[in-house]
Amino acid sequence: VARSFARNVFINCAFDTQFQPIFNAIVFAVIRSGFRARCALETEDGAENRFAKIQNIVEQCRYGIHDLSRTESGGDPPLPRFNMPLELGLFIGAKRYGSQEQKRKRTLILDAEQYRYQRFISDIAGQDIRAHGSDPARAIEMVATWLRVQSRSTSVPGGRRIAEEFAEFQRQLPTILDTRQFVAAEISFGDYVTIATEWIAESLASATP
Amino acid sequence: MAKASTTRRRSRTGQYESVGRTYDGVTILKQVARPKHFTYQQIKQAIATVREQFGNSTDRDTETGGFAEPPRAPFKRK
Repeated sequence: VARSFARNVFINCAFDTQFQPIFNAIVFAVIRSGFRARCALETEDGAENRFAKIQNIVEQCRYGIHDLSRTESGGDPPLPRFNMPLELGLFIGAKRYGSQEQKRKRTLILDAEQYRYQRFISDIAGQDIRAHGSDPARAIEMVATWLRVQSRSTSVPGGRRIAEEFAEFQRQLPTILDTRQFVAAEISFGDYVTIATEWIAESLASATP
Repeated sequence: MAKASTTRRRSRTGQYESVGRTYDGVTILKQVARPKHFTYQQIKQAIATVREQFGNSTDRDTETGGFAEPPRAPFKRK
């Protein structure tokens, strides 16, 4: 298990363009709060089995943020997208059956609407489940508050302040990418987290290094 | 404008590498995922260039704690 267990946050959500604003907001909030954002997109290169890699990432993370808002049926015939509930079950199972360290895992479940989960995954009732209403600023507030409380780290800033900073970052990001002749749709998860991390470290830096 | 804190530091236990510290005391950690299309140097240069262009708009108002107003384009008469 990675020694950095206590600062790793597994982000389990959809990666499509419709969900991108919420995903980017959650990743930004995690980094800005002093944690490391981990997700299945780290596994996009390499020959190792994708699910085995996801299991490794889950094992290395104390915190899990699971957004079920894109668990919807689609296609022909209409079938639900079930990667997110699968990875949520994996995370909860690791906490239940894992080592003493794994039992310290903490889970936050997000959805677009309150109580929608009861229609497709009612057995998770009793977990920490919150609705962000598909609003990135609300998602940031929920993530920051949850990380502050669960990690008992009072240095995690207020969610509204982080949301303001995220809005400023989003304003500058297209110009940052344009200096390298890129647009947002072309960059990888690794590109995004590195740009966000460097931007926060540079733009919000302490006056005394 | 606050001086950028870019010194990479390892934690005492060697578990984390930090890339800086924010004005409110949060240590920003180096992430596990690596960039695919850029080098770290290219990213830092691009951010520095854009910060100049945006006029350090992440500076804080010392009284309210909010963002200082970004510079506006000069008003043009029609």
